Amino acid sequence: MEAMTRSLKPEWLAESVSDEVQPEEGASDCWLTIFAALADGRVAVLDELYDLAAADVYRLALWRVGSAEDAEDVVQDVFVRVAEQGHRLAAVRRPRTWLLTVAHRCAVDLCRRNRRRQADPVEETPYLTAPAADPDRGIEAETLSRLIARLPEKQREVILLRHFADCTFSDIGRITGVPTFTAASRHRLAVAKLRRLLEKNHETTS
Amino acid sequence: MKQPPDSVSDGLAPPVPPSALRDRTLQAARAAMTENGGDDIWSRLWKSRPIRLAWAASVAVLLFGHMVIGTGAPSGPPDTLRPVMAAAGLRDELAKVIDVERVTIELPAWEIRVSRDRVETEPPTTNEDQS
Repeated sequence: MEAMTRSLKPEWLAESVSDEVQPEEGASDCWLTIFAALADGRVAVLDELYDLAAADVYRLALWRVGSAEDAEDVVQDVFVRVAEQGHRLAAVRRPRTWLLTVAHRCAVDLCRRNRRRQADPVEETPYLTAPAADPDRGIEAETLSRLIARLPEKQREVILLRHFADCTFSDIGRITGVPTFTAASRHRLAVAKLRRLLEKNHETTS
Repeated sequence: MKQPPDSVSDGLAPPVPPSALRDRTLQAARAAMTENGGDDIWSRLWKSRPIRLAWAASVAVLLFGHMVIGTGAPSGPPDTLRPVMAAAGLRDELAKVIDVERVTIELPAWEIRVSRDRVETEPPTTNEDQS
């Protein structure tokens, strides 16, 4: 049982809040090149942008809106909005952060619309999945997904951006439109709550 | 026997987008880019039918207003008085009155009274006193 508990405890639950992830310079140049090409009107570059960014956008949308179908709508909406920007894309200095900001806003808009139409509960959303090479961990993924679903959507979003999108707290603040301190505070609260949920889950299963 | 993994980051990760989403998204993005992407703001304004109608309506209103104001009575004295005023030099006088710079000094009432009393009580200076 101890091994099971250990396996369910994410290592990022013990991570210090002050640690900052530094983005790679090469990756940033790649983003800037793609945005410059899009600003020049090269439609074919959209494929490259999708391969580079779709996973991050989809994950952010999924963790924010809590529904796979809605997350797909957000991805489509984000890419349409990018395509509509045209030559203005050349002025974007931090393309990845800018794109995630657009994704965040689209997801927030969708959340508001969903609240109006009383969306279904999001308990079954697969926030985490097991690797294809290790399907035995599917139960762990389901358990953690259920616990993550119980986090507030803002805290869920910060956890994703911090630990699965390698964003700094400064970037998270820009993306979500809050001060850096607020982003770090949300992360701390999310980790604390997830840790409590894990301990409670361990007690009930044992 | 397989050892349990140490943490989530060893394997668990958020899901990737479904493969069917790629074609759908790129198709919509290409259509949007072809339609709007290469245009500047003026081209997009020109292509928008509501904005074109609003522009035409504003021009019509301006023309109508210009015509109404242009046919109305002119400002100033009536035309019959203008030659008389010009002959009497009244126009120059009026211009001088308008050009006068008005200086307003706001003093409290008691200070005005004190300064007035001082003027009245001061003895007049004469050449004899100065010598």
